[in-house]
Amino acid sequence: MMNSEARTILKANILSKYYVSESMFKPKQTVKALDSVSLELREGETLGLVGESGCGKSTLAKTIIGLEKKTKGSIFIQGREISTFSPKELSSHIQMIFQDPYNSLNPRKKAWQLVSDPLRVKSSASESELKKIAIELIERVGLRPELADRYPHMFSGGQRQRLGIARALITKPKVIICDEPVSALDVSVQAQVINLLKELQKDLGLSYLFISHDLSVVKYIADRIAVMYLGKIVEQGRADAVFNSPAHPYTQALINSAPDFNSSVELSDIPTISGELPSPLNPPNGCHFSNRCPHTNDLCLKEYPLYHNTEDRLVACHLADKKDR
Amino acid sequence: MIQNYREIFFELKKNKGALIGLIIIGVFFTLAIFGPMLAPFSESELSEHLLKDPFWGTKFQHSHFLGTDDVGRDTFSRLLFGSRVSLFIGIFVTILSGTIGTLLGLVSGYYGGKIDKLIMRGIDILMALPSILLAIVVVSILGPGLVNAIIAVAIVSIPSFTRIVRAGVIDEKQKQYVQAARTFGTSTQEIIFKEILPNCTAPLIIQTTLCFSDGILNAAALSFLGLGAQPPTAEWGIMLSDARSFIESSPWLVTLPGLCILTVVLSFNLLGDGLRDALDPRLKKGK
Amino acid sequence: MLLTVKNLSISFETDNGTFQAVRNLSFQLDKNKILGVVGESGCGKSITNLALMGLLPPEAIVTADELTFDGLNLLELSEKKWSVVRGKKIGMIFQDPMTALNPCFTVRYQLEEAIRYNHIGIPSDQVYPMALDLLSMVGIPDPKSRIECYPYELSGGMAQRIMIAMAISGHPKLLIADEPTTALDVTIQLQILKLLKEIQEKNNMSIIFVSHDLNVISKISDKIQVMYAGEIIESGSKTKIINEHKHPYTKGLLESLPGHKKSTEKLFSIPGIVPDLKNRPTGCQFSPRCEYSTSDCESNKTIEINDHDGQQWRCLNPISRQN
Repeated sequence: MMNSEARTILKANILSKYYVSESMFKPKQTVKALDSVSLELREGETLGLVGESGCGKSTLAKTIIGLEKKTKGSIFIQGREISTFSPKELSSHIQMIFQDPYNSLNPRKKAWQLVSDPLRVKSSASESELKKIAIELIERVGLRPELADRYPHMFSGGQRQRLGIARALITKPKVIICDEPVSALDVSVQAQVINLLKELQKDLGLSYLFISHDLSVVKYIADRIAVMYLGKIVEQGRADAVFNSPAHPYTQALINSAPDFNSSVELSDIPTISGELPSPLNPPNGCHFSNRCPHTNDLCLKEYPLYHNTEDRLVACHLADKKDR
Repeated sequence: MIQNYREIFFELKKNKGALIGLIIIGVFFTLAIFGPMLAPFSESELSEHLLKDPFWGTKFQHSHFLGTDDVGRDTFSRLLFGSRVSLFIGIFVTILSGTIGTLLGLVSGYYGGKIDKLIMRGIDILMALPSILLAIVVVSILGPGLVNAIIAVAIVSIPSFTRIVRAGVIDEKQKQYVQAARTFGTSTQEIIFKEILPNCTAPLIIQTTLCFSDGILNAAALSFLGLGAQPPTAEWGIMLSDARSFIESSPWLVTLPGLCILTVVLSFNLLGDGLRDALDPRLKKGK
Repeated sequence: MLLTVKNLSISFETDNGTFQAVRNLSFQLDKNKILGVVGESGCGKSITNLALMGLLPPEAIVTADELTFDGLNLLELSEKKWSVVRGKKIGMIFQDPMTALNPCFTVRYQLEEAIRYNHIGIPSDQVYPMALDLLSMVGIPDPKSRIECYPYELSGGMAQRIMIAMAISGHPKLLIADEPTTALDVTIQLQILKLLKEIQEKNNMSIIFVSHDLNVISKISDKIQVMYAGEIIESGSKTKIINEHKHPYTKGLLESLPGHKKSTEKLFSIPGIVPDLKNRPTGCQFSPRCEYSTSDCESNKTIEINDHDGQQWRCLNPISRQN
């Protein structure tokens, strides 16, 4: 159990990322992929980020790590604004594990070369030193050191993800962004990789921003969780509290919709959320969830709800507001 | 990597056409390098045996086993010297156009935006003009000669490299291993040359073989028109042109250089096609 | 029985020798029932589906003691006869609706094409109304305008509904669904699962639902079949498989799911990886990774199937129910 005095190691403040498409023939269109997102990752903790397609969780990861340039707002890592770091400096503080094991490793490089790349780019260590450090890490993530000279196509999906993890660790960052790290893996392999991530977190004191669409995985691994919908965070709080008593109707819908072999609820009795995600070019007025929410009222259609903050829980819902009054 | 080459060669062996092409190219290279040293006569040596036939003809002269031309030069020797010139042309055209074309493709594909538009419009213009015409224009500006012909043909061969490399870069650029390289601060130069380019080699290799033969063909055409190699250089294109007036009396004078061009170009094309088949399924089998 | 499969084996010849993708598969499917097939990559579930549709590549070697669907012997069908079965008696939907639909043609074009294929000789003025009907049946709002869309204008959920519409346009008795919800968001997945169940009940259809996701399988299936390395290693009713499973692999799969594990507990993970089908282990295919395996398991026999009380399992050391 993390104490609430744990330091904040990564913080995003009203972070926004807009994509604007301008052309001669159409009016200017803006997609607010991220809209005033604020979150905090505490040291040694895992913050789970969940949401469905188009919610902005991947954009958030890319903006934090610098693959995309933010439009507004700020990001702090260990107290310092992230834009003051050069990418090489930044890699000692934060690194990323990517989703697709078949796509995230250069097919022309050997395993030890891939793993040592982040270190090679920023240090003047010799090739043999780099190789030594890489092999240590390759062992640390559960692969035999003899495999260090092999090429990616000789590894299975789970093994490739382990290489990706080793690569993310080599510059000794304190924060790791895990962008759907197990989504492309078979179930039995998922468990292996999740166990590895937890172990490494404990041993190395890492903090994870864990992005996933799979609620059961996030529920297992996250200390705190943020739920995103159409570029905004709709609910944020302690993971077990959010899962046990979700305050936002969308969170409730997500939890309901995820099938669970342990639950005896029949398919026909599970409440569905009707409709589809609105177009990000044209989100509804008022609350973005209003066109699908079972509890929508007039206010929901007119005004976007402000954050309502109770007992370590942030919810963006007019009804949560009302409940407490 | 060695494993890769072995597999590729294995696939290639299955394709009979490609194998034949490879063998002929091997013969061509050998002849081009060593041939002229072993040629019985020099390329410009005149003799009194004019318009003699090859050994199967009626007007055969022992010392010149493939015949002579209208000023007594030995056809066999000139063909050998010509092969060296063709090799020279092929190598330089490919190196020139390959390097420039690849660089343009890398820059265009990686940076996108205005640079991409600018470069591709230039490439589009180059491609819109028939290559021979363009080559003629370039040579007219630079003046006739083998070196200028090589430059002209190289310019005309740039677009295929650029487009192929650009397509490859655009594909690879959005893959996660390139994104990963960006996240930990790899320099743009390193990303382009060390991460992306090595993964674009398959189509590049194919294009190189095709460019080699296209280069020889185009240069021969220019020389045929009098704009490329100049006399007394023995080059297959010039030999074709010189022999035009004697098509009826000494048909072999025209046919033999033509056959040489045909054989070399065909074998490169066969090899290129075979490589395409051998490399593409491997690319798809990536997973 | 609607579908009877006995000892189905599918092999492929490669440069390195022949290997069996699927071996000695036997199962039956009743009318109006949903069979859930679950397994990880390489277990052969998708290849089996292709065999049931006659869509295997020509180099595939298919042998079976019996492969009967609705009285038809599928093993002896010529390509011409297959066209009577495909689409009309057996329909199929795939994982990625965005690639299963042709991006160059409108929904209307593709749907009408399916209708005409499945209803030979249908008068042309009936095709469009049937298309609109089908779209309403699969829950597409405002079918008249949606039908004119191109696939790129559709969301994943919409596209999947349209694929379902195309697949059921011939009123097939069997629908094969190969990972139909894997690429969809979880809220949309629920909608599609409910839709499939609804259609199955209304049209008296059977469904073979293939997935790697046991949670999904547990919600939609009547009967569950677990596959590993090209074999069925356990099958039975949904409740039996979830609560009284016998095979250690089934147990491993269920325990690997994070589900209700507390974050302080380590997740159970099956050690090792799936076997290379070109280099199969002797005896039980799962024995190299099994915590209960004995030397008997690894010896040179094929493990026989035990059949008891509506449940079948292929194991010499099945899990006995404790407490």
